[in-house]
Amino acid sequence: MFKHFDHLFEPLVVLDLKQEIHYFNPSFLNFTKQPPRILRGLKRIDELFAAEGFDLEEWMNAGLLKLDLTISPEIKLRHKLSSQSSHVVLRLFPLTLEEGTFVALSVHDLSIETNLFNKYRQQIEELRSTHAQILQADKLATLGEMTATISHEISNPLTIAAGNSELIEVYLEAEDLTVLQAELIRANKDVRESLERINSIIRNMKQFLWKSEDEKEFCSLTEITQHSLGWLQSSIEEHSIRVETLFRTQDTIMLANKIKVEQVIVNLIKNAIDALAEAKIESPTITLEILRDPQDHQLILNIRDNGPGVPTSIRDQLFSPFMTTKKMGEGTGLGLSISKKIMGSHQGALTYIPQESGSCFQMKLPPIEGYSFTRGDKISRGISTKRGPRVIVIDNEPQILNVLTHFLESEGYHVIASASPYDALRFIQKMDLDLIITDLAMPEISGHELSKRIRELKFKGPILYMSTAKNTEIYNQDKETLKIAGMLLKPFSRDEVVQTIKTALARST
Amino acid sequence: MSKLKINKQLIDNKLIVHLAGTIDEDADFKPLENLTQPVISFDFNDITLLNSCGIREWIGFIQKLPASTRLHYQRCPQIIIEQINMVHGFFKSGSQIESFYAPYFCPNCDKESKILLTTEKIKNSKAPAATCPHCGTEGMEFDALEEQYFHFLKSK
Repeated sequence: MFKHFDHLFEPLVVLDLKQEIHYFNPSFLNFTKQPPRILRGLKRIDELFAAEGFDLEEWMNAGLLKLDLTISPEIKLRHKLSSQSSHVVLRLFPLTLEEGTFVALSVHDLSIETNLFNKYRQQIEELRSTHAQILQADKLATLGEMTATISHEISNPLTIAAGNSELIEVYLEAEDLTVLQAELIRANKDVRESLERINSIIRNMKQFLWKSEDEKEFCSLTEITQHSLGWLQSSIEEHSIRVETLFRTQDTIMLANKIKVEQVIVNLIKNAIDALAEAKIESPTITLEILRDPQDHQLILNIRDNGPGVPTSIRDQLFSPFMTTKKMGEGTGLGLSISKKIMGSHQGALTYIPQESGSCFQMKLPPIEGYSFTRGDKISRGISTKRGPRVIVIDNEPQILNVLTHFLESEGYHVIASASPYDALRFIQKMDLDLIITDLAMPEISGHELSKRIRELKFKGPILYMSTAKNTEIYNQDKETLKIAGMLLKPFSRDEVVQTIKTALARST
Repeated sequence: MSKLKINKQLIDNKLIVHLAGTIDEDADFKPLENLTQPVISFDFNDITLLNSCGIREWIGFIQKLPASTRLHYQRCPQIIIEQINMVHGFFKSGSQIESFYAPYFCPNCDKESKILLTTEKIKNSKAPAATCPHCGTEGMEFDALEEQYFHFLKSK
């Protein structure tokens, strides 16, 4: 009667309404690991299985009662006749025949998938933990190598503080302190500022060592590059190296972990300093160049030096772990390999660009529009099955992008950030967006001009301006002509932002 | 880490490969790549687990062997036969099953046994008669579905 089920890959058993077994297919034998002799001797299906943390009997009874397709959640099924268990999803469906009404119970065995998933998840966790340890080790090594620099950084303000403290002591011995009041205030101010400088150095060191590894935020590559140079200033001065900075673009905002990117830049500049010091070049120079790739708009930082360059024979292994050209004890050989991994984790790249003389390392970081789009896409990341409203925020200030991203993502919006109106226009042209928020005062073009161009692209959704109260007049003019849905007045609160956006979206639908 | 142990023995130009343990996603058949013997005999007697990921690894391995290499399968346990019956590609064209285990049950002493059979003993998908290794009773019962269990002999 049920022979056509013989050829199914899926294990299947047919039961009557009292849960008595009438048929099982060969796959069911393989699944239960029981001979047909044993299965034929069983009365009811519950003699075979029990579920862990799931009321199998209740589920079966409900399915038999409604006589409709019923699917269980993924459950751990214990085989009562053997010691094994399986991860399965069960399906119960009715079979109405002349001989009577039956139900088929088919088994989707997910044991292999579940075991693989658990195994690989554990391995990935181990890899992550190892990677974090290597990163930390590299930071410690870098910091160790920079001890001389840090000591120098601290000793300068310390000398100033100590000198001023002695001066205060001398002043305090004077009979009439009122005459020296101005001197005392200045000396005390110098002491306080020096101590603040030392505190700031120590805070930076702590941050460099212990700040959360995965936190990414909108930040300026120019600022991080300058900060990295600050770390190495005394080494640069010690070796009389000239530093040339060529910042060819103002739009240097990226979505990155500041500390990690700083770690890469410090590594690369330090390598250049070491190479120049070792080679004793006549007028040693390091050039830091920031620009945008005209083709793909990636943010580029080139770190060049006029040293001896990297020998052709080792260029292929340059980014391999433990590859070093330094003397024993002077480098871990991990810096470049870790730096490349850090850039990879930012969807960026680190490459060596061969030069006629000297060497050049190129860091590339993706434009923030695409990166923030993929990062916020909860569907492709498997976090959600429903797409939240897509909002693009355009502002040249990274702090504003960070604040708005934080506000809106916590409300379920899919936020795309842009620091450049031109890049934003390219993105708006290609993507399906629900709302646009633009700053009014931006260096490239104004928010007003940008909105005009957005409307020319036939974008019909709401546009919101954001600016200070002095620009309200522009909003009033554009409200009708460019259909501007509202204005966020800086500084704004979370509730103001969320409410304005909700209203704008509700009106547009 | 692979839980599959591989042991090779060359006897009279016939290579016997003894496999023991589990054939799963970690199974590493690299030690067997680049074999040039015209006949390779695989002994599966000590295989304790074979899953679908392991079958994938196995198929990938035998596809890399030279087309002229003939494979012989010896002492295949029940789990191998069940998977062979369900998955296409476990056999390389021109390969041969020399012997395999089949489940039997003795109604006299109530014990299950795996009896080693050779393919020529199977006629019309019927299990041959077997004697109980525990009590010596003749006429043990075949303890699986004959048509399904011997299906691999038809499809070979």
